[in-house]
Amino acid sequence: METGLIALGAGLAVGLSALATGYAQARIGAAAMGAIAEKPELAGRAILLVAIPETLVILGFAVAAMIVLLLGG
Amino acid sequence: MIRRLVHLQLLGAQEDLISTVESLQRLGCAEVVAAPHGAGFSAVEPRPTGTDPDAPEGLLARVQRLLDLAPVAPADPRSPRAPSATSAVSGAKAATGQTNATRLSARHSAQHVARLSEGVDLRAATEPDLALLELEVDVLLGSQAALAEERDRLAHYVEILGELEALVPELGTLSDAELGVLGLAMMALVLDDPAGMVVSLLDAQLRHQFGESYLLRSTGEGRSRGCLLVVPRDRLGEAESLVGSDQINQISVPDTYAHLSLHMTVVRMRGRLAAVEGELTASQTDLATVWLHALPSLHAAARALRVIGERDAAVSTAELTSRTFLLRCWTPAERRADMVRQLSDDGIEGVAVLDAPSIEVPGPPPVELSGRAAWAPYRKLVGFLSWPSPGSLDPSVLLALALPFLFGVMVGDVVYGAALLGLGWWLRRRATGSPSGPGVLDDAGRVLMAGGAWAVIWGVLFGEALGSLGNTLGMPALWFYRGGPAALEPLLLFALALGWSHIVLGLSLGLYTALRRGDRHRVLEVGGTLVALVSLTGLVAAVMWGAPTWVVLTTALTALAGLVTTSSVHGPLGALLGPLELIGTVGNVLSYLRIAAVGLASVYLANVANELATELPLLIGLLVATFLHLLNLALAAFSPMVQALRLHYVEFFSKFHDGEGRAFRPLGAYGAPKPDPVQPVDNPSPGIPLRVRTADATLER
Repeated sequence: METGLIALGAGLAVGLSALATGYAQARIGAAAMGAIAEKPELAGRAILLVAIPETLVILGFAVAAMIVLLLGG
Repeated sequence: MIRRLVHLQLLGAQEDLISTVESLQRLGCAEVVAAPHGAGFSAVEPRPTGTDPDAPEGLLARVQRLLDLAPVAPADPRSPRAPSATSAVSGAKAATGQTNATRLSARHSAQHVARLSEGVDLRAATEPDLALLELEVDVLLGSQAALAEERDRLAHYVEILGELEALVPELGTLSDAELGVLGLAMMALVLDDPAGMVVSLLDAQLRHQFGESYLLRSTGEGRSRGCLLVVPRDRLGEAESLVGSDQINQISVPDTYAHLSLHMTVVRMRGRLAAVEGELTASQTDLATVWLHALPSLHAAARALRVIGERDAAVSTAELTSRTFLLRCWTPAERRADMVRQLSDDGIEGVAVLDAPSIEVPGPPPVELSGRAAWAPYRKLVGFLSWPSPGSLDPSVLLALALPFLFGVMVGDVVYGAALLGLGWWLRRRATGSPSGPGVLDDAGRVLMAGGAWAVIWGVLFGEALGSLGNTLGMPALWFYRGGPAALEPLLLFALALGWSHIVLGLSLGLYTALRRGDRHRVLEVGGTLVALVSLTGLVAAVMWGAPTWVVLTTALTALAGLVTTSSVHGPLGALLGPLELIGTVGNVLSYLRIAAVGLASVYLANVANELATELPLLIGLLVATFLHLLNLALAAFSPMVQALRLHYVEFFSKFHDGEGRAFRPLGAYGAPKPDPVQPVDNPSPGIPLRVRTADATLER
């Protein structure tokens, strides 16, 4: 039971942050594609902007790892 | 490495202007720039630029349109695919075995377009040949479109009418006139009947209106059903108004078949269909022959026109008096002597190469990154984001060293690494034979090969080959196996250590750049952040390992001092912005945890593939495992590269790379012009506009 709850907590930490990242990337990506269509030279910066929200899911991964390592024994 | 560029002024007589620019194109290391605002002079109105279709840019647009229409495969005689076009042509001719009298002669076309690239008098030679080729291609494409449309329409008719003919064989042999003698009329209909209701409804309505005086036959089930309706000829109008529904289309065959029997209509249509197929194939053969002969010349013409366009653009930046020109350019300092030599070799003796007075230097110089050819792809990756400014550091070297390394850590598998190495080698081999030069494929191959090599090295350290398979087969992990239960902690710490080192390196480079430029604010900001980050790390280590109190206090105070230093440069907002900047830098270090995350995802996907192979029946298990490993390999080629690139763009470059420079774009990007000495036509006299004619263009100044 306890192990299951730990796994659930770790999964939620990654899953919810991944959803947030996906939402943010969808909004930024759509805007970036519009910008690239008008100015193709912005492709590099667009990738950079799209990649920024990934930090959210990485932090979620860090929290999940801490949950597993600290609570999972 | 960033090369030092010097600003030079080339001063000479106007008749030497075009040959001077062509000489610079041949040299390939001088970027011509316009005069800084307000510094230039020009006593002569610039040449008007318009949309003349016979001007080089207009001709280039027309050539490019043809190249866009052409198939990709036989693009160039040097292309390894070109022979396949020849075989396609001969194969298609053999298949058809016929020659269409109306098609245009491919040989005739080839003779004309072959002159496109001879370049002696490009404008004069190109225009009529190009017009002929455009006409020929447009005619062939137009006829193909018409034939394809007729083929599709006939195939549709034949399918429906053939089915209907089988329903009423006794009526199908009667022509329209014979039906008329019998007092009957026949209608072929197509019903949009997804629910299978329309036919029965139509039948009920016909029965209501015509009683027993009609015949309705329909093909089998389906969304679109064919129907044959026979009614008394004098009541044809009633039947036509009855079937005038949205869901019913009456088949109106072309006039050629209008009065034939149903059977003869189908027979004639089948005959015409076969003929159309033959004509279409013959037309495609003709077009393939035209492309086969014309494409090399078109490519050569496009290249030559681009060279002329580049030259004309450079000429238009020159400042002119009635007799002389002044051309401003940037060139690498060590190539100045080459420039003088090139002008001399080209027989241009009257042009002086001068150092520009500092007040006439048009803004900061462009930046040229130089170094090993192997690093060229990384220079392009830097340019993909932004270009370094003059006086800053060349980030491409650091990118070349760290990007494949981080990629290799994430992939970390001997087999995947070897596969990526092989893929990179294949891409480079393929790029070598490309007609447009090595280009992107070669760059991608180089990066993949470097990343694949590091992936093999890290695969040996992690003891991974196809995930857990190597481990299972007894392959030792020289460091630790990432799929093991105790691997998470060391992997996370390793990723953090990599991130910390990379960010500290970035901050150190930022501090060095700021010190070199004497930018006091930047020195305090970056230096403070660097001190704070290093001290903070020391503080965490001291607390974790139970260091003496004085060590803890010292590191804490140093971190605070660094934070205060960073905050001080932001003025009144420093209390807010300083801590935010430090938190952002710590976040940058944490961002490197993605190395562990992506690596673990790759390992576990490989392990799942291996587990499924053992759990499922042998053949299915092997198929599933192969599919998953291929999927993992595809992800491994893409995802770690994007993540490694992002770590550089967002986390690393932001510490020292300002990205405010612009790339050095020397003349000669499209190749060198052919030797083509300038011929003065009119003997110039003082004050009279000079007419200079080259072989392909005439300029009046």
